Amino acid sequence: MSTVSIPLENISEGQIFQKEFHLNQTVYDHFLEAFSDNNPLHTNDAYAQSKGFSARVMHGAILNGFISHFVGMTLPLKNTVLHSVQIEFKKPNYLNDRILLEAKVGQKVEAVKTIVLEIKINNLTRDYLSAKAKVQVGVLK
Amino acid sequence: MAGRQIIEELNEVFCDVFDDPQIKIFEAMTAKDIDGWDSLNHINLIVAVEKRFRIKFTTKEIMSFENVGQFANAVESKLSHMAQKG
Repeated sequence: MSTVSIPLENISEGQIFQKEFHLNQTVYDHFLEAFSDNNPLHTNDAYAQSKGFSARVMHGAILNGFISHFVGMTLPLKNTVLHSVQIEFKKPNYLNDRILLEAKVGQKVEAVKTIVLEIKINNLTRDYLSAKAKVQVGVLK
Repeated sequence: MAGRQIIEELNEVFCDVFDDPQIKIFEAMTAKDIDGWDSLNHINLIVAVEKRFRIKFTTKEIMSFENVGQFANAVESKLSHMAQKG
């Protein structure tokens, strides 16, 4: 969890938070084990290449896991809870890619202790935008 | 109750938040009148209304509303104050 914790009142619209993730073998293996999505697009390099990809494509839902970690452990707010995640996948991620999650506070609704984050998920290894997300986060008392 | 344009816009927000195009808001309407108006959708409603009308509420204001009519009047009042300030 973030070692710095600040009250919601000190969060401002426009403020940006970010964290880098590594889409490594452990993350991939655990996702496969937990959810058993063994679609060949995600598990077979030759098949994925036959469909026009460089190699097996990492599951897009892994990015949801990074978002969950980011909201629960990286944001400098205590007692956060995810209300909603709307994510658009733009370009594929591959094994061992480095991912930068950048979140801008698009809206702060102090009356109901909620922020809306506009998130860009950039693939640093391939230098492109991999996904965009709109994430609503509440702060429990 | 607030003016027609505000009511129409507020109605659109209600339909969107509660995912029900049939909703027709009315002055005495409360959470009991809409399926799915739980605590999370209550937050979603406030978030959506603040964004739609570019206004801000305080927790105290939110807690004081007894029905949709009072909510709509508060929206109108805030918009009116903003217009006066220019």
